[in-house]
Amino acid sequence: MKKLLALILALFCISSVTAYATAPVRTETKDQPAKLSYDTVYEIDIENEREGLYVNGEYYTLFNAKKMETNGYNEFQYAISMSDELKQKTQDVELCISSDLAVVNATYNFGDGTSLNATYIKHSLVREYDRLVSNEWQYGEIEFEYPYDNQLPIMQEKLYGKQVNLFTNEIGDTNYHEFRVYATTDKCELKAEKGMLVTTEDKYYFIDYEKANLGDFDYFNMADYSEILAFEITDENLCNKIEECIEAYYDDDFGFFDDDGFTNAVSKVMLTIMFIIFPLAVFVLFLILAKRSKGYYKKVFRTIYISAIITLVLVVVLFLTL
Amino acid sequence: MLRKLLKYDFASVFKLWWIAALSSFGLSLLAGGCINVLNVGRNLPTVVDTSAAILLVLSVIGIVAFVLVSLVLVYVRFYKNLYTDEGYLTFTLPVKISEILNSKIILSLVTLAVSGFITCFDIFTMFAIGLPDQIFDINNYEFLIEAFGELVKHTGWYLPVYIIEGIVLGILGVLFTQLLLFACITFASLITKKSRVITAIAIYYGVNCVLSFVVQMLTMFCIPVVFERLGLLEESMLKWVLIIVLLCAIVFCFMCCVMLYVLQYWMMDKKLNLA
Repeated sequence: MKKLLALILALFCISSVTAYATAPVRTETKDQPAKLSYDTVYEIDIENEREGLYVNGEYYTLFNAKKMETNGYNEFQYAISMSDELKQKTQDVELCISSDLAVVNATYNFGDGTSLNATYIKHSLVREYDRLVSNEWQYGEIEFEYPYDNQLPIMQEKLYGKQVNLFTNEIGDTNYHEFRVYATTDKCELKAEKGMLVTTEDKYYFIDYEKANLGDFDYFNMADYSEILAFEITDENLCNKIEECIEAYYDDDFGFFDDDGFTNAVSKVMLTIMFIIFPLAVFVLFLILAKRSKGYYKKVFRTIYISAIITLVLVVVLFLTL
Repeated sequence: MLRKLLKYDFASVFKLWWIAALSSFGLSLLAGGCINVLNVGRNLPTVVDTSAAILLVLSVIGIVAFVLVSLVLVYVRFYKNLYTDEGYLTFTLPVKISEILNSKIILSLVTLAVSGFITCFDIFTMFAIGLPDQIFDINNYEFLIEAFGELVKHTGWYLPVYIIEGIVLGILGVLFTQLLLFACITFASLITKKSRVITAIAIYYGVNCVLSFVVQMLTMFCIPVVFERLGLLEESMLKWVLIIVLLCAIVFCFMCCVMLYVLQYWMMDKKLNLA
């Protein structure tokens, strides 16, 4: 018993120490260089600058603009300007870096319990970023939700077909879907949301947030507007590709199975075994047993095979109905 | 004779059960008080808040454990009354094996039902004491009334049928679980003389794993296909088909329950040897 208790205590201590040792280490105060290490990322030495950060020798500029997204590590929020006053108040800093090292997200924790989030972009990518958030983008992608990682690369010019006014109450009565359109760059994983692809039963529309003059919003919701300026996509090639992606969107089982009838085949086999073969086997077995038995057993066996035959009848009725 | 068997079975279980029920009710009062303390937002010391939170968690665990305790009392009664020295007396009584078995089944179902009701009452008490404004404010139940109204609007006169079928299916499901446990205890008593309880638990765990696998495969592969087919039907046809689907499930469950019952009966009748 004592040995068992000692073993449990030892295991507890080892696991506690291991958990502590492998946890991300909080940064030190602003006067000391901060070290942050994760299992899969890097050791980063930070020198805190007013307008930017040095990370592993690279300079990251503070940027202040629309919300950006990256496929890597973190989502980013609106950035603000740094000041000496901020540096004075900061107790410690938490840092996260995107997987392609393009963007660093910093959370400054103050002594009074509040915190501030700031985002820095690698200096060499600032121009690329400006291009993405302006209207100078050329290449982008449409993001379909399922299967995962299903994006359709597009060119900006193909999205602007015939200009139309979408009445959202009319769209809402149809079987419509929305997919986000992003401007992308091949220099890093940054992308900027530029608009929404709206698919109805027979047409595809692109809503450009800027051209539609939608104002500021955190999350675009078509229902918030009664009428929206949009562009009907007329490029046949793009329409065909969108249609293929949408069909994949509906037919895929969350990426688990290929669309080759595998699921249908397995389900038919299982249903047949459970609701036809099994009751049939039970019926035959207990019919024979009932013939050979007497007394209480005979009654119970009869109940079973009658239940089995009723199940079979109901399954046949369902089969004929469906 | 069934009545006498039931009388002694209930007496045996309920002499401890009522203590557990009373304790559960007491815990619900305590939990309600803790919710009140945590909810009111007075500037109480952290120690008081922390203690209230811990007591609340322990009370809720205790209330949930009450149902498990009730079931354990039933299974202990089943095991002791049939497979220990007491079993010698039980099987010499002038009663049929089916009556002994029926008595245990009725005991388990009634105990489970009453325990479930007590637990619901305890939870209601807990929230009635802890959050009286929310519980007794009829406006908070508007969404339920609206949802029920929508359900009635879509199902019409079929709703009572669905409810009855659902209840019957639920009862059969519970019955199946109880019969399965009884069968595992009986089977363990047949195959081993020592460590019958552990063997019974192991057998039940094994059977449960297999059944869970089958149910998961059915859920993963069959249910989406069935729903897809049902979605293609017209609304009037769909209502009838749902009735048939539920009826089919009821008959299938009933067949499985009777099969388990006859297996249990056969083991007790032909195979059991308490010597």
